[in-house]
Amino acid sequence: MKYLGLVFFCFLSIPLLVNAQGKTVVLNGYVKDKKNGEVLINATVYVDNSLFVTQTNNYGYYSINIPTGKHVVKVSFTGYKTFSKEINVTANQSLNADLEQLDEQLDMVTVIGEKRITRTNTVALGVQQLTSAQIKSLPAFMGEPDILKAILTMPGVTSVGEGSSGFNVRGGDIDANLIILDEAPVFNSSHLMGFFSIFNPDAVRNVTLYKGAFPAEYGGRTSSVLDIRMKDGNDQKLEVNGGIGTVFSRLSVEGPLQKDRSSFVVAGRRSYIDVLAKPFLDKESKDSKFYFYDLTAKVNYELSDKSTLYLSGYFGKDVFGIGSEANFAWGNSTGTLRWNYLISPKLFLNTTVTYSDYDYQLSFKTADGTSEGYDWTSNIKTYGAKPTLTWYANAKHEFKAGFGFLRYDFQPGKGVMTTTNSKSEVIMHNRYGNEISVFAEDTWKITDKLTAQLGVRLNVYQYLTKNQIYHFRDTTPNVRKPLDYTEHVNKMTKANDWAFIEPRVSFKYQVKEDLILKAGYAKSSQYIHLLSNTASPTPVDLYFPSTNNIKPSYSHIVSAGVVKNTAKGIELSAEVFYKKMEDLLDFIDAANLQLNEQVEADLLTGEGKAYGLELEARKDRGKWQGWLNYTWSRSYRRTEGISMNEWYLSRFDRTHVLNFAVIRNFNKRVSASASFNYGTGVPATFADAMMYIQGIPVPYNTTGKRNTYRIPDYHRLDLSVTIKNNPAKKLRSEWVIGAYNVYARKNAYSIFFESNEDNPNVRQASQLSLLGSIIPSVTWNFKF
Amino acid sequence: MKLSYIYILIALFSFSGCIKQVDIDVDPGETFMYVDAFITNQTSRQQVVVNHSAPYLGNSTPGAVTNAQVVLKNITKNRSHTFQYLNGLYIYHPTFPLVSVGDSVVLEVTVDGVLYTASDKMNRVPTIDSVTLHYKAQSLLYEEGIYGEVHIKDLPGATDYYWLKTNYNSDDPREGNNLAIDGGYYEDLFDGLEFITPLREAINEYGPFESGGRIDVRLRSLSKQTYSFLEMLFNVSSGSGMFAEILKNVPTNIKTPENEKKMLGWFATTAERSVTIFIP
Repeated sequence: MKYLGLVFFCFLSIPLLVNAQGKTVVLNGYVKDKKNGEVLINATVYVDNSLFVTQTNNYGYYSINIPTGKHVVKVSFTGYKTFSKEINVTANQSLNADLEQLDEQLDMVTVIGEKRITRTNTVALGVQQLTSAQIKSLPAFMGEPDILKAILTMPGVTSVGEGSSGFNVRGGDIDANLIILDEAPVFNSSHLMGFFSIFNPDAVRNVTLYKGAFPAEYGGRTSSVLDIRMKDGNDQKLEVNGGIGTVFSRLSVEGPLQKDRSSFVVAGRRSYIDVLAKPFLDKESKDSKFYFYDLTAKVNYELSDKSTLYLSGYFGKDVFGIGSEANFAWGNSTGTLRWNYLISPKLFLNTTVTYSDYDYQLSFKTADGTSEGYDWTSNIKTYGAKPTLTWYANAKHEFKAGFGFLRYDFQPGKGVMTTTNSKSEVIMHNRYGNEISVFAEDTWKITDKLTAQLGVRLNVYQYLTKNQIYHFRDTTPNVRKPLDYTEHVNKMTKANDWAFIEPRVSFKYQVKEDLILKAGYAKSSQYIHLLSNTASPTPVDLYFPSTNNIKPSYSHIVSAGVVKNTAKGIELSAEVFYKKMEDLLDFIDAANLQLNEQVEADLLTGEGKAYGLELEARKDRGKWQGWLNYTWSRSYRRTEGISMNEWYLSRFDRTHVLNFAVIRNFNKRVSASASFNYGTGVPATFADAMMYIQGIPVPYNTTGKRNTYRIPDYHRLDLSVTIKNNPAKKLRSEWVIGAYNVYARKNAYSIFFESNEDNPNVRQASQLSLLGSIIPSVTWNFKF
Repeated sequence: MKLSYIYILIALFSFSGCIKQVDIDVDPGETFMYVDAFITNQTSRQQVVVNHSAPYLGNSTPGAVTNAQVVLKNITKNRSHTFQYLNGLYIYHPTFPLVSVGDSVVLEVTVDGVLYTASDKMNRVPTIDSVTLHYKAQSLLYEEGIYGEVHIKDLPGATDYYWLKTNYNSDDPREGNNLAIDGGYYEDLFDGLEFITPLREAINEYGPFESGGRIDVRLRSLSKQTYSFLEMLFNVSSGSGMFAEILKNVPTNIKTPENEKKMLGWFATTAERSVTIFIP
């Protein structure tokens, strides 16, 4: 804990380093949408033709230091009329800007209050953002716009296959992505295995992916941060949005609780395959269950001009089952309470308290539903608090600092077996973790051309338990570790702790007005691990903390890039990155990862490295919009005892990835889009020999090397057309007609080895494709 | 295998997808020798396979190593049995069980002067109380027809590992294989109780049964190591599906002398009980 003091000292010393900037005053305020009161994030505020420039934060707040005297203040935001006002400032002054939308050309499904963070206006590298409008404009699986599927079209972001859960960023594992919904961590971001994400686009305002040098305020994962912010809700009038689609329907209601001061939004979705299928099911199958739903809600209240309170939550579940005989359910719930307080025009305090829970249940019972059965449950809960202070010190410095505490409570598994005359339980005892962090960051405009973001984060992680502490002996790699001794404790006891100092540094150099160079470095550590050794993670995979036997993993990421804006509004960018990962988890070949109290004995630690080049051209305005990006990258792992102790390709190495998306707005009522994705097939281990054991052909790889082959390349084309009704009507609606996988490619999900069904003496390789045909869809969206 | 029913359930309700045979270019791996020896406590013919591996793809069959000497040593009873080579197998026709519950046994295989050894201890097995037949109506889980339920009571006092093996009509190559620990799926969960429901119905893997058909149900005891080996073997040999485990090589318990080419495979002793049912 001694490091905490050091970081605080550094932060408190910063003011001493900041010279007075002459006679300046503070201009501050909020930028909002005039029509619905949604705050506008990353709106640009500039004074006297860009002599002084800043951007609004996640709460629409800005603060800028300017000299006294007359000024012209302008606020701009994509899709809005530029706000302009002449002011004469003699002392600190507040100026709120309510921006009007340009016209009604943005359809009613456009979630406003967002602006893509262009690469030219951030200091850090590897920041990606998609607007909700763009997400909704893209052709979508089953016609349902999906945040995570859209993120997969960004350079450096891949998945192991169609329908797989989670995503991989720059060669990192899926558990290395911190996914936060209004700052509450989310552990499983997928519905229906991995075909849909749990985030309702109607309730989301802003999605930002940090895949490189992420800001110092984020930590606890080694690959990326996906920061999802919910809408606040219309504080001017009641509004209803909805959609009826092929798989599920959406409905959201938002409106003022007290005009200009308080608003709410409630949004829900439910799949109805089960409802539609019911008439076609026979009597015995009528009580089958297969559906998912989610509910997102948020309310905010402006306590005073200086203080606003936000309360938001998410609850979602996937449920599958056959009567009482077999049932399987999993889901997330999150809750966030945030309080913004403006201590002074220069000091903005946000305090966030979060709760999250991911749980799953599995049960089998006899047909009578009562007498005998098996129930299995598991969950992970977190409780967090994070005050963050932003200090708009002067024209050259903007400081952000804060403190974070996150408590993990893992229930890795509980199994209950009931027979006619007995009941037995196997319980993996709870594990606990405390993640304590202190961070400080200065965005420093060193010269007119050079800006630096200098941050540091200190993470302290404690592994706690109130039951057993296991101590294992080392053994031959890839062999289960023998238990040395068990330490019994009967109260909450710290079994181990670690501290990591994590520098986060980025530089931006403006060579010319339209040409920018960037470079950055970040170190990050991670204390929770997804235990999964299947081709795609399952909803019942276990999250497990770093313990006295499992070291936290950490990574170093170095990246550099160049951004060029062309006169035609096209942004061209190139980024290179190198990522080194240490203490990554792997598993012994015979690992038993479920309901295994001593699962730590089956885990191995190794190292990883990934590097690549990402090229992108994108255009976000005009009748033609879209992007074309190409990524060349490699991702390797090395673990003692695995693959002859040599470096091997990770399961998610896709060497070449090409994404192309184009959106064409023909007029105010009709638009069309197309999306094409290509990726090198993921690496796989193939059998090159076999032996019969007890009559069963057993595939074997004699090289002992992992992932030396690849499954076939992936590619897919999707199309969609959107037709809106007359915008003058009160009930506004649109039809979205789409086709997914237009040329019906059977993309390989995996290659596996089996005996031929007709002739068991013949062994063959078989390809599993999760989708093998074109998937048409029709969705009707409405708003009033 | 322990949780394979979970994956079956997941697969049942996820997109069914499509599976097709594909031609892939895999260099045949270097040939190795392996042993397949599961010695039972029965007086039926006992056999040990000592083979060369074959390429996985295609229809080539592993060829026998014809010049091996195979000796089974019952350490507990201080007896030694030499197996004779016949038609690709090393066989022994006992007049009494070669191994009994509690016996420690060593298998010695000598090829070209190199001695390969493996050891195991035979564990106990309970009797199969009965197999009952029931009619099940059509549902998402079952086709309409006759299904069986096997009733076994775990032996109390220790953790037991079992292999429940089901064969259907003698001309049907399909085979049901399920593993159990103490009549359930996990260690230290319960002891001495009836096998739980998913295991009881595990013999229906290829049901429903047709009238006039025959079901052979065998329960075999395993050591913990053999249980782990079979668990992995069943996983890698049925590696399809969205949540299939990544291909890994099964381990071996055959000890190869240093500097000699490794012999693979598995040796186990297993006490066996069986029941045969004819479908009326």
